Amino acid sequence: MSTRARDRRNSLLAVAMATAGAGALAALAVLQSVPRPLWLWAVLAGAYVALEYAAVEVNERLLISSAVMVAFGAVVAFGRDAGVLAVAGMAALAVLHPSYLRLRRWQLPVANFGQLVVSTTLGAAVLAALLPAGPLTRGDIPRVLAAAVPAALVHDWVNFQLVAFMTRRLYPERELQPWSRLVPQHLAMALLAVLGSLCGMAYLLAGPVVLPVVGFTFVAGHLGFASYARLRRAHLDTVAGFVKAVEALDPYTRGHTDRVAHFAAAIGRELKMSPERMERLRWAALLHDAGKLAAPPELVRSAGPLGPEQQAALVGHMRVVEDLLAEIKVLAPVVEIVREWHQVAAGGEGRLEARVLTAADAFDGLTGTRSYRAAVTQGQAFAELRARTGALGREVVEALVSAITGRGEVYGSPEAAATAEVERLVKERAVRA
Amino acid sequence: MRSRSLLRWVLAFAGAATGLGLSLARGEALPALAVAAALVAGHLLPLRSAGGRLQPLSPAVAAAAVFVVPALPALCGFALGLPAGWLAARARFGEEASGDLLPGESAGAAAFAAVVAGLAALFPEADQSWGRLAMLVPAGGAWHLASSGARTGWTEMRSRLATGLLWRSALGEWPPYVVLVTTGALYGLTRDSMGWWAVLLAAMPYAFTHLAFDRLATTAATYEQTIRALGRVPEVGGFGPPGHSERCADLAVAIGGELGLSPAETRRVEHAALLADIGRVVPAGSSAAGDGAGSAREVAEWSAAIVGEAPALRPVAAIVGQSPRPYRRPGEERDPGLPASAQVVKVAAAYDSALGRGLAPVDALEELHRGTAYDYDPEVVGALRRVLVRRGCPGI
Repeated sequence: MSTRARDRRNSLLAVAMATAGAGALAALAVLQSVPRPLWLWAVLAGAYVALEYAAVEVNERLLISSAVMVAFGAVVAFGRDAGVLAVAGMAALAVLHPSYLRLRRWQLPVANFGQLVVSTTLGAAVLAALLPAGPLTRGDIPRVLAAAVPAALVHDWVNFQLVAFMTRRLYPERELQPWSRLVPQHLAMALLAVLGSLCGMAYLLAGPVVLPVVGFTFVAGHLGFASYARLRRAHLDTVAGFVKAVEALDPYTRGHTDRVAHFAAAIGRELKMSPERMERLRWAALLHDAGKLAAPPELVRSAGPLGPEQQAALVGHMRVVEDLLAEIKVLAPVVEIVREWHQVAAGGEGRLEARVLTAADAFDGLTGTRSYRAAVTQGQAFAELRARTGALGREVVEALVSAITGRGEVYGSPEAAATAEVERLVKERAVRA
Repeated sequence: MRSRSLLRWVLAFAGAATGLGLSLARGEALPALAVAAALVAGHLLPLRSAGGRLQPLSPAVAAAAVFVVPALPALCGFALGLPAGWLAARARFGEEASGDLLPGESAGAAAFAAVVAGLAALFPEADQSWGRLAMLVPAGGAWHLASSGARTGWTEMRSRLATGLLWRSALGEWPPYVVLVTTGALYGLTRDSMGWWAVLLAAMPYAFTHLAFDRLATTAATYEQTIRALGRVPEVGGFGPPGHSERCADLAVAIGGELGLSPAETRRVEHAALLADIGRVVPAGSSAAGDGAGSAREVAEWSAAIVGEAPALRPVAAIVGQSPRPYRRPGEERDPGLPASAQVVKVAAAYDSALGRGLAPVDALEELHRGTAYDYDPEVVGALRRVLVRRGCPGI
């Protein structure tokens, strides 16, 4: 399909999604009454819009938006007669967020308008339908909280399906996890929905004085998670920055760490590793050469391949830095993988992550030019790795081949003639040096 | 030291005995014991600030008590619960982490009670909900100020760091107080209308925030460990004297405190001192370095380049890059573009290097004094002198 045709199809999809949202809004405007007091709706709508675009990173794998809490609180506070319209109106406003308006691809905000209105309306409608009739009292609290759980799951499921539908069409290269594998996400949504409903009950029973108090506590938590995410990124950047320093020692290995991390991640995905193992693998790829920081120059910038004694000496120097990094609790399991990588590289045994790292490192080594030899072609590199399946494991090598060829990526020298040319250049450089 | 420890135990027993005695005598033992039990639980499940300091949940208990417990049983509960909580925290987290909890919490609770009592006397007609909620703002602030002051006055760190730095650092750790006061207020405001559901209502947002603070504190500690480990890399590679980076960082923080640098700037100075020599790994093999170990300026440039690779550490890289510069050149009073932080790192490193050459502390300081014409800022050297005096360095 041509780019123009794809753009047209995406535009139509976005308009269809937005039409569904607008239709839901129009129907609710007829069926429901206007939410009162209006100031409460305005406050909650502001909080909803702010939270919808301020998702927090609870841990390495869980990103949640707390907007659902506000939405469910609003359904309870405004009641069955006005709650669904109140929430649908908030969701419709979310498209006005400045960061969203800055996006150049108009299909995304338009589609998101529809997706948010439809999913939020359905979740709110389930909650409203399960609420007791008449004014809510303290005795209704268990029923309200119980009703919030299925309503949250409906909201979550519909939202996921609509986002997945649009993402597959707008960003076909992105990988999406199935809904069934996002259990922590669903639990978080259910908890937030219960909390929102409880806050709605608190508003009804204790009055508006609870709003600033809940708001302060929640904002503090949000800011705490935002600081945590910033610090976590800074930590990763810091380690990555020092790894770049290692690469600066040898111009031939510049970008090596990034490429090894890329190949390792591709193999890990092919082997369907869990997110936890993928995270450890990423850190191991990042740190596998960090030990060279403390190694003497004649070993790091050797003009030729290292002999067994030199190799052992280099590994010894690297182990000193690795021991240092192993003192950092969070890095200790990662350093274990790096230590096993040394063993596998020397022909020994190691866990799957270590073998993946060795295969990724070897592939980059073979397809990149070194000071003492030129790059080989991708086919030659695959053949070389297949000859080492005893240490690396057949499944690892085949996963690498499948990942690289499946993505249509090509590394190494394009052809034998070019290899000869690179060899000539390397020799020339060596003479000049 | 021993008298301070004894004072703390006397304070604990006197408080506990008074609280228990008064509540029994007045026949209000149940609410007092409930408050005390909540305080003990709050000491066992404290919040951790980003700096890793423990903050028991006592402000939350106090804020809730304003709404649901009469004044006297609440005070008795605090007199009993704070010492008991301190003992529980001491058993769980150890003396080092909980050493300043009792003075800090006692001072904070006293200030809180005084402000609430004063405001209640001034505004007796205050509305039950909004009025009391408004009362918690100055009362919570008073708790934070008094607690920070008491903990700063108590800590053993006073012998190593300037009191001003400790006080400013303690004041900067206000977010846990806001969270705790609002959590307690939420419970207190809804207790009558929602019954025990109020516990769940207060606990859920608090749990979210507790998790956030806990992760932040853990990540901050890991980040510190990483920077310290990276700072030691040149040393384990044999490119610098062992322990140099740690000693320089320790001195640089103390000098920064004497100079009145902010806690954030002091942290940057600490990181700069830890990482100032990381560039020594470059001569290990870079074509940029060629042969030889590199001059101080080159090492600083390479260190700054390495550190600057991490966006979060760019302000640190700027300090590292400027650290070898003299504080003034011939003909000028001082280099206007040179931050004090860079001079702090330079002076700390020079002092430790002088000690490493076998000089006595007083001779090392004398060597720096001789360099105050151009190399070392006299103000920074003066701050170093004050640090050494504070630490009881012989001969100074």
